[in-house]
Amino acid sequence: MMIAMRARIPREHSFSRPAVSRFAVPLVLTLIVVVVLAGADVFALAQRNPSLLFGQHYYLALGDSISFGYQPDFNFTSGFVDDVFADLKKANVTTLVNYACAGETTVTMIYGNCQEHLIHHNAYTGPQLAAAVSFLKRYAGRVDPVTLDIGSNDVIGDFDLNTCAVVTGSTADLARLDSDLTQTILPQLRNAMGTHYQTGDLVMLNYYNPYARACPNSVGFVHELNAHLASDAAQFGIPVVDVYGAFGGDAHMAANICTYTWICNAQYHDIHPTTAGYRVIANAVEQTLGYPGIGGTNPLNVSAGLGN
Amino acid sequence: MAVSQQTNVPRLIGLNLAVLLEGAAVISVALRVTLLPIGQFYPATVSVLLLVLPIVIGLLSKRIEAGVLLPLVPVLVIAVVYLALYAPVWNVDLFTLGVQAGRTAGVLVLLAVLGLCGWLIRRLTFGRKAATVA
Repeated sequence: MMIAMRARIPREHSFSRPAVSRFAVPLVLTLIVVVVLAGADVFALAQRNPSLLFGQHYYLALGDSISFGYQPDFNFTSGFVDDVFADLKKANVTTLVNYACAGETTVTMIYGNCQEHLIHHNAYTGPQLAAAVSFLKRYAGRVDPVTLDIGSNDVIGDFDLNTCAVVTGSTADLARLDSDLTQTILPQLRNAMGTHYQTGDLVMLNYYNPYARACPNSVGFVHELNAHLASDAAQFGIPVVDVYGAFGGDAHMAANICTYTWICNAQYHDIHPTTAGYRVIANAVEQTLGYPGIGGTNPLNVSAGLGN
Repeated sequence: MAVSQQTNVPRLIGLNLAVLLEGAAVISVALRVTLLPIGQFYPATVSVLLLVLPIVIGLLSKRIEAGVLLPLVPVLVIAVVYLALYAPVWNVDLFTLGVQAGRTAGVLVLLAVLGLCGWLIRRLTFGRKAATVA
């Protein structure tokens, strides 16, 4: 009986030496192939991580009405942020997120309650800084560049257009501006960008002088504001876009201001830039970011060589 | 037995080389990496290779299991490596996962069918002894 059962067992189902050796070669070769493939994949994925390569790349705009793109004729889509983004699209920046709020000060940026908080290009609740920090953390490594235009609303009330003089309180306002920027806003933004932060990813803008024609002596007031912004930014190695220089500087500001802003417009008499003015700011931003005209150069290092 | 293994070894080496080549083609297409300096011909070449190599693998496979499964190895390995290193599944919601799984399944089915085609060509050309089901 035992002999008969043994006889019925098919040879290929037993683990005899020839059967093992028959599978050994293919098995070893297959294992070698899998290991080689896995090694090649690990190397290739480390070089070109698809989650960064083919994911969304964001341009985050923060700040006040100038970042918002405000114009008194209710054209809110021709701001410098829109111009910069249009150029960045050529460099695979896919999405613009504009959290700017018209009337924003450094205080409202931190604590909320911006003057025009109901009108945003991109919706968020709470203070702009908190929304920006949350966004940067959520999309770490995918946000580049970040532009920040803040400070003018902190001190704009300190200059009296009727008397063309600085009123009392401007020193205190500038001190608070410095404090808000250096102790809260800039550290939080930089920390939120984390290990992905590189010099140049975040830039600040200084301000032109809308009162250059009406009050030539306002130049000192604007210089002081811009000097404070430059000093604050320098503490964090953040480049500052020279909007003041782009609008003509001391020499040509008064000549250009009617073209670049609505200040001479009889109907609006508004300090905000015109579409032409916003284009000038956009050019200055792109120059500071280091990719003027873009020309296919991708600011995001991970995509170098994409689309060959 | 020894003679049979000797004649098998070149075929097995060719088979594994074809799998490795397909792996290179998969990396190239999935990550848009250029591996050969042939300029504008590269995208067309690698696309054709990605379709032809599974058929070659099927042609070189004696067993149907190998013909169908080996073309899938490069895609499966890169998928496993990518998921393990860069994309924890719980970062993907249920509906996105379904879409992604569908795309992956589409690629796998295509490669398996191409491999099967190669194996069937082998069977038709060289007879049943050269291409066995069991």
